[in-house]
Amino acid sequence: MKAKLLSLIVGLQVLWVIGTVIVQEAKLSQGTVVRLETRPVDPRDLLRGDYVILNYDLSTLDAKLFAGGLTNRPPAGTPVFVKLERQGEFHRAVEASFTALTADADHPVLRGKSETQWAWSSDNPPNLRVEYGLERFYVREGTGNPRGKLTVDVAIPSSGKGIIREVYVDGVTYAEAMKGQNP
Amino acid sequence: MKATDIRKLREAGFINEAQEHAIVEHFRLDQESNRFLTIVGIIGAILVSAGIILLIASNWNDIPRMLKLGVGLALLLGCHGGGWALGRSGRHPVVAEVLHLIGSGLFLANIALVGQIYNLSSRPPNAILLWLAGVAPLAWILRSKAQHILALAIFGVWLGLELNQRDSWLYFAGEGRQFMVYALLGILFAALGLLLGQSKFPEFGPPTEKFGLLATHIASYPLTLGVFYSSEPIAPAAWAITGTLTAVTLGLWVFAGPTLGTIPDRQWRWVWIAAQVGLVGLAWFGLTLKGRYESWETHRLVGPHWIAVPALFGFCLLQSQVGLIRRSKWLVNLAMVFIGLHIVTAYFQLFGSMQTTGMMFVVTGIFLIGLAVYLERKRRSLLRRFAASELLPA
Repeated sequence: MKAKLLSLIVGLQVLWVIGTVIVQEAKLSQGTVVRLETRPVDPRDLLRGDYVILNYDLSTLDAKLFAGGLTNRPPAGTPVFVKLERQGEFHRAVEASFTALTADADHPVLRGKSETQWAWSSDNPPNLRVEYGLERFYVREGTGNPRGKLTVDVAIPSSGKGIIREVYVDGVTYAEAMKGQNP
Repeated sequence: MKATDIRKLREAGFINEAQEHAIVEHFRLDQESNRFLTIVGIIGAILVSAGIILLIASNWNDIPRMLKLGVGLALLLGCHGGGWALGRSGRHPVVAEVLHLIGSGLFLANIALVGQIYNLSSRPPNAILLWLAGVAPLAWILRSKAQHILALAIFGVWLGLELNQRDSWLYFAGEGRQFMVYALLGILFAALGLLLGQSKFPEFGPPTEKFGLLATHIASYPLTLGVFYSSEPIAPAAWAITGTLTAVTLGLWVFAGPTLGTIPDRQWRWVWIAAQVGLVGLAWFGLTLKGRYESWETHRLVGPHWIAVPALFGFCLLQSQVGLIRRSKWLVNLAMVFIGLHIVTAYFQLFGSMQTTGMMFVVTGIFLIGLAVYLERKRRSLLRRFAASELLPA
């Protein structure tokens, strides 16, 4: 009986790992791949070593993207749906909503959640800070300070929750770029 | 008294083999020699688990991700399998326990590995809660005290992370005053330990109680510092959390209190229960009393901490007495350590005024000497009563 219970618990642990791997691999292989441009961040925000903080154009949504504009401040954690369209090399936001949007082949929809809203004034229309779960890219120890322009390939499955596929530094994969920067 | 001492008595002919086994079993002397090995083994297990997690965190990009995942799972299964095999053979119980502990640590390592490989940005408390869910049942299945303490510690870590996570229902704000939540949790664990001691898993009782008391002492220590009391606002949800925790804690002590068979003296039993309730009150004192921090110099001489210092000092004295009654070295030693710490803390806060420090030390010293005389008389009286009663062997 003890052996069965132990096997059950350890088995559940293993199942969680395998199940998560399957789900993530499915997202990577079946999701629509979009390329997103990152905005420069204050170098002081980049952690040295364990992961790189990624900040996107999409991370701050203009109020004009929302039908009817932004009149009320949504509570932090409110789901936000962003429709993307390819413009040149990158996908950019063309529409945003707090309710689900319909995706199509040319317009994938990325799902995030609102953070605290920036202060607004009559001169600056309000905008909304959104987090997509794509803000961290784990890197090899000691390689968390890239020099160059970062771009990110993100796979977006039907659920809208994107997953980072690859990060590039000046067009080269991150790992390769850091090998060159840190021989 | 060690098992080897009893063996010497048998070899000298004073007792026979059956009596030797009975004595060794009754006082669990055979576990004493394993205790050092167990402690060293547990430290080793923690180091191995932490080392594996750090190796994962260093992120060896050169290793394919499926290989990393495969190795992680193989290590997890291998540790638990090896622990099970050794435990069943009965020859190396300590090594078996250590392997299971490493296996538990490896579950967290695998969670971290998956998060790292797929760049998952989930809330940190979620990972710890998942770890807790995976590891907590092992304590009961394996009847392992080490796994049980690990589960309690993980619960504490998870609670701490949630209290500091802005998007959490349990978000506390109030920074330093959240220590009072941990103090309440410690008092709750102490009650839980007493209840477990009467349950089908009595071996979990003492470690739970000890862990709870240690947590209570550590978490309530900031109350003795003048700078602790501030006017930082607490999140509204924090009152609900603390209130719920208080209600559960008091409820457990109401149920656990009468079952304190380890304190034969009824009066002392209720004194101990009252002391725990008093600690709950002290925690609320720390939670609700507001001050305005200006400087170390302003706060060291005048402030609410001069209520907390004697209160906690008194609690330590009570604990040492209860420890003597229950013949628990742990309770006495823990109380002594914190008595010393509270004295030193009070001294440093009065530093700069030799007159005040001197007066305090004289008064405290006289009080302690008087208390020691009283306690020693009580102890001798108790021992005489025990010797005269049927409970003690002839």
